[in-house]
Amino acid sequence: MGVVDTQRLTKQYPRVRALDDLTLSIPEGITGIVGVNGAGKSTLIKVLLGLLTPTDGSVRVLGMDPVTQGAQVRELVGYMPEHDVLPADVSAAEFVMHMAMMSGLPRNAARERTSDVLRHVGLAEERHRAMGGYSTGMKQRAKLAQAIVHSPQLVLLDEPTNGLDPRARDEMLDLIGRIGHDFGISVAVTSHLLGELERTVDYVVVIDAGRLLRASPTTDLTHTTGNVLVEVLGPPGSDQVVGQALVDRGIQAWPVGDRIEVRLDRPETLDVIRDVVVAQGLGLVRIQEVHHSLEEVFHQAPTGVSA
Amino acid sequence: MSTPRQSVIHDIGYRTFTGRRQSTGAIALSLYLTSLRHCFGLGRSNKSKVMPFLVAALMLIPALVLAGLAIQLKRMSLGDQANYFAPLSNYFGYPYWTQLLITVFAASQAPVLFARDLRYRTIVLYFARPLDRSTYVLVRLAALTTALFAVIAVPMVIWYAAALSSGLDRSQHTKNFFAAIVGVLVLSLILATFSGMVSAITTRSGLAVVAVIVALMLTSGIVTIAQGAVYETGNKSAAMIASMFNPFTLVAELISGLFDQPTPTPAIPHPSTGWTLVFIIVALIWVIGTSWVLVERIRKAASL
Repeated sequence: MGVVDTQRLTKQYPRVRALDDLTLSIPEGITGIVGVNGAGKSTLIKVLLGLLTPTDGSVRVLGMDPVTQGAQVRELVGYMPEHDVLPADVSAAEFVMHMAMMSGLPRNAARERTSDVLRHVGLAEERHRAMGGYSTGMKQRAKLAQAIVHSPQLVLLDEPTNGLDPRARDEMLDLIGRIGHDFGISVAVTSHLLGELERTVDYVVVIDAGRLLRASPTTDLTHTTGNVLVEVLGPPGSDQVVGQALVDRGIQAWPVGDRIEVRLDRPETLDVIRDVVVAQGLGLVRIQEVHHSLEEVFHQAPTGVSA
Repeated sequence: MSTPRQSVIHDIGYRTFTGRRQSTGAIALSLYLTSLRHCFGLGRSNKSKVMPFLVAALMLIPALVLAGLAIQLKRMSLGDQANYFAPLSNYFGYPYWTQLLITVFAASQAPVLFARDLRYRTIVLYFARPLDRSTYVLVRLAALTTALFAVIAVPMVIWYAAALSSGLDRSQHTKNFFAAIVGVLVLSLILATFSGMVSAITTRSGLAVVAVIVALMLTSGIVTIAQGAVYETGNKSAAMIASMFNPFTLVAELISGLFDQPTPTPAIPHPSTGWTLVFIIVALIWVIGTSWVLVERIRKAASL
C-alpha cells in the first residue's frame, strides 16, 4: 500500500468530470504527477486534503480516509500551493511558526522547527524580513518551509518550480530531492515540465482528463533505447568518416548533430566502434547510452495506455 | 565492519517531530489568541498598533469624565445632582454615544482578520491544516467580538466602579450596568459579524475600512434623522422599525425592552414586549445572516 491510494475515484462537477474513475497508488519516495492544465491535478490534491468530497470511489491517504478523517490527514500532510499565498507584511520566521502552530505543534516545538526548516530551505538572514520584499525564489522557499514545518509524512507540492530562473529551479529540485530522500518525507509533486521531474522523481503518474494514463517508476519510463551516442575528436567531418566506416561494417549508424548515434545489436559493437575510431586516428571523446525522455513517453502515452 | 558507504548524507540536521500534536481545540485556541493580539496590532508592525490603541484610549476619556462626575456628585447642589442621576446610570448610552469610535475600531481591525487571508490567499494554507473552514471563521469572529467587547466594556467598568464608590443607588446602577454589558456583548457580536462580512467581500483592507464606516455611519445617520422626524409626530412604530437598520439603535431597543432600561435618547422609544420579541429576531438575523454570508464567502474564496 502506498502513501496515497485511490480506487475508482470520481469527482463530478455540475458540468465537468474532473476525476474519472481514477485508480492510482503513490508509493513512498518522490512521485511526479504529470498532466496538462485541467487534467485534474488540483482536484486530486483537494480530495487528498479532504477539502472536496469525491462523488464516487474511495481514497486513502497515509492509511486514512480524508473524507471522514480530514483533520487527522491534514495534520500529517503538507501542502505547497502553486499560486502566491504569503502575506506581504509578515516575516517568514513569524509566518512559518504560526503555520506550524496551526498544524498542532506546541509553541516551543514550533519555534525550534521553524528555525530548522528555514535553514534547510536556505532562508537565512532574510527570514526576519517582511515576505512582500522576497524574490520569487525566496517566496517558493518560504512556501516550501511552511509545507514541511509540521513534520508531515507526505507533502503535496503544486508546481514548485513555477516562475523560477534556471539556478533557483535547480536548487528547488535539489531541495525536493533532499526532502524525499534524506528527510524521509514522501513527496507528490506536480509539474508540466517533464525534464525536471525526470531528474528528481522516483515514480511518475500521468493523468489526463481525470483518468490515469500511466504509472510506473521513472527508470522504467526512461530506460535505455539500446542506442549509443558517439562523440569523436578530430578535424571537421571526422564524425561522418567514422559513421561511414561503421555503416561499411554493417552497423546501423546515423548522424545526430555532430555526433553519431549507433544501434547496439550486440555488445561487440562497442569494440568495433573503438577500433574504427582508433583506425581513423581520431580521439574517442565518449560513448553514451541514449535514454528515452519523459517527454517522449508522455507524448506516446495516449496511445500506449497501461494502467 | 566498516565498509565505506557509497553515499554519505552530510547534512543530518533534519529532525522529525516526535512529540504529541495538539488537539484541534488547542489549535483553535492558539488561533483565537493570535487573532485577538492582531486586533490590537500586537505581533504586527508598530504602525498597526496606533489605531487600536488610539481608539481604546479615546474610549476611556468619556468614562473617566463620567467617573469623575459620579465622585464629585456629593459636592453638588441637590438640583444639579438630580440632573445627573439619569445620564449617570444610562450605561448603554456609552456605546451609543461613542459609536463613531467603536465603528472606526471595527472597521480598521476586521480587515486584519478577514480581508488579509483572502487577499493574500493565505486562507488556502489554513484550510490545508486541521481546523475546518467554519471553525476558522468562528474563531476569527470570536476574537474580533472579544476585542470590541473589551474596548467598550473596560471604560464602562471604570465608570461603574466609580459610581459604586460614590454612594449612588447601587441596585439601580448594578442592574443597568449588567443590562448594558449584555447589550455590549450583542453589539460586539453584530459589529464583528457585519464588519467581518464586509471585509471578506471587499478583501481590500482600505476599501473594507471605508465600506464598514460608511455602512454603519450612514445607517446611523439615516436612522437618527428618521427617528427625529417621527418623534414630533409620536409615531413609535415607525421609530422602532427605523431602529432595526443600525446595530447601535437595534441593541439599544433590545436591552431597553429586555431589561426595562432607559434608551440613550428620547427619540428611541422604549419597546413593548411584542416589539422586544421582534428586536430579538432582528438581532438574530443580523448575527446569523451576516455570519452565514461570511462563512459562505470564505469557503468559496478558498477553493484552492
